[in-house]
Amino acid sequence: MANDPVDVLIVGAGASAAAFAWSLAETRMNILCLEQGGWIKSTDYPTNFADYEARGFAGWSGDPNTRKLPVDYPVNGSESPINPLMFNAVGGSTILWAAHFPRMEPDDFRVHSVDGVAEDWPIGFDTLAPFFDVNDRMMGCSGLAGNPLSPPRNPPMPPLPLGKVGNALAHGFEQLGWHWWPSDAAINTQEYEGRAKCINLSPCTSGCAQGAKASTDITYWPEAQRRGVQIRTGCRVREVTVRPDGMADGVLYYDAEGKLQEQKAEIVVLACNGIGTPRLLLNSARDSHPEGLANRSGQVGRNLMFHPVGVTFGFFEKELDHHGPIGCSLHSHQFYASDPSRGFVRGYSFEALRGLGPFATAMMGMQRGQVRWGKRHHEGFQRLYNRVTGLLTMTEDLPEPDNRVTLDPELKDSHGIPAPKIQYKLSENTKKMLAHGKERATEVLKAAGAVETMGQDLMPGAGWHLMGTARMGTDPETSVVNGWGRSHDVKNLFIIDGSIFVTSGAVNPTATIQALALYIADAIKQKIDNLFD
Amino acid sequence: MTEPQNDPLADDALLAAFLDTLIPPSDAMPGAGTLGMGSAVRAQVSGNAMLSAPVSAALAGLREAGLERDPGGFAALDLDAREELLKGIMKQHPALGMMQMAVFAGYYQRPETLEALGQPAGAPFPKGNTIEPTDPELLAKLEARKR
Repeated sequence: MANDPVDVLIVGAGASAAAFAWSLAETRMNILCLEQGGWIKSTDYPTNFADYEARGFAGWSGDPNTRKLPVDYPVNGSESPINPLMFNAVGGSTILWAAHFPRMEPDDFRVHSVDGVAEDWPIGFDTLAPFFDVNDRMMGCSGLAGNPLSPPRNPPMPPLPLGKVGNALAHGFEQLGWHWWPSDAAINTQEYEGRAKCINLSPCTSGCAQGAKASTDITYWPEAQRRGVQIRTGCRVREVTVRPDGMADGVLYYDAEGKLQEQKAEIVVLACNGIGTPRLLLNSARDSHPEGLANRSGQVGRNLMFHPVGVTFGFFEKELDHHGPIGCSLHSHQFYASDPSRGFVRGYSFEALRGLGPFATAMMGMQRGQVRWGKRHHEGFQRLYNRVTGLLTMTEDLPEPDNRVTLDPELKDSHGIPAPKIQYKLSENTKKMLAHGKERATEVLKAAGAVETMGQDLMPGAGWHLMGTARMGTDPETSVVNGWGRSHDVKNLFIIDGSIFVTSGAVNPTATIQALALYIADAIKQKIDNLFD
Repeated sequence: MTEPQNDPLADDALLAAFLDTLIPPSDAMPGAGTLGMGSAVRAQVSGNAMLSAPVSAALAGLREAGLERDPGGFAALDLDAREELLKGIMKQHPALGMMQMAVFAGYYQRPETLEALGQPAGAPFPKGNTIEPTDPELLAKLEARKR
């Protein structure tokens, strides 16, 4: 069944699509977004219920293989030590993100020039700087200006309170003389643009019933819709179709009733995340492009980067707390830049967690054998409850061609579309970084007063950041899109999500993903008269 | 319908004693059985084909062992005796050990438990929570370091 053609068709309604659609809407072009999920009602979020902690681990898990909702597609992660996480809805993974909102640093865009590894981006921090600022204003950002290790930034709201946990950890960093700074967060600390301020429902990663956390369904999308952008939900795109001249023609998708539909468009924009976008390109293979669409370089699906994360827990005698936005109290870039004496290139961030709620405390204690059944149960629980916190080591993941997304030969989604398969190995460089981070995190926690620590080298369930699988570059032989997101091979096909990252930095990528999407939208506006030349 | 004496899952006293052995009452904290978690556990086990038969068999073993110790059965034993018996039964019936996670999970979401821990008993929204502000001494240090 054919629908009326549109000017611009966006696939996916997450972080990048929302920013892009809002920006491009001022052109008055006819813009349509297809999203396989639906709109999430704030009354459905777990913190509306007393058993909110357990709900966050099941139906609101970030792992699609755990959720298994009808809108999800399975991911074969059996050949990866890290599980890819995502959420399928209007707002995408910003529905469940921690809203930690750092920007990549200037040197992150020129890794090859600085350290002789990987590749430089075709654009630099300065190119994105104005779009970072627009994005802070649109999403709402709290933070403290003046961070000495980062370019100037003026968040429109003051920072989140550190809480007992953050205060304790900050004193630990102070004692060691190491850099720390309150985290930039896309969480309101005061009423902002009609959205309420944070009331510490915690833990953010199962959705924000208060609407204080900036998911794009409540930030960009309402504004984009007011500008005329349409969103069609329950629509799972099977493939991008191509005209005889090699230009994209539109897509074939299954609608909410499972009927195959055709949607033609002048411009096709992919915003399906670093797993979904290569999956769609590979599923769009035809005789004229047997290795997948936009894949003459052979780079589609390759160079998958995750940000491998380690966690070190500290156990305290003094009472801490467990409320507040889980991922956003403070961060440290003490070990962010390369230092050859450490035995690895590039570096990592520390990010402080908050404490654990009663349910999470019991589960962790049980797994560690500290909370057992029987007469000593309460004693074991009380030793942990409000006395544990963690420090994350978030490492820069360098691109490697064999870390990749392919199509699983057997696994399919509910519409029979081949599912993605992840093949990923931790590099020796990353392992050294994680080990270094664990040792340094232990020092911080002890300086903060921890009487015991426990490090986990790698968190398997921390694959939130999906990057690199359709990377930017000036050379069509080694990259998928050019310096403003246009496919080298298909000149009316754009990619705007984390797939186009060349390197990953060592910070949460959403602010950079959205700044890139705004920049690409702006480039399209600037070049509209000769967009396909 | 299965009589309680035949179906250990339907034996309220046995189930409550089992749960109070896993998480006993202590000072301000309620026991899992005392809280009345038995019906929730029964529903969970009955609805799980993989779990139902082995847990029932284990509870039957527990009941039998209890009756050998005391005419009042497992529920009439003191905590030390119940723990000792349960440890032995768990070795023979690993399914009972698997119940531990479900019981812990259920217990730490019960309003009575949350209240005993000093937490709000209901949903976090819309009341929310208060957290400690950033230490002014730390803020002063940051101010001095601003670029």
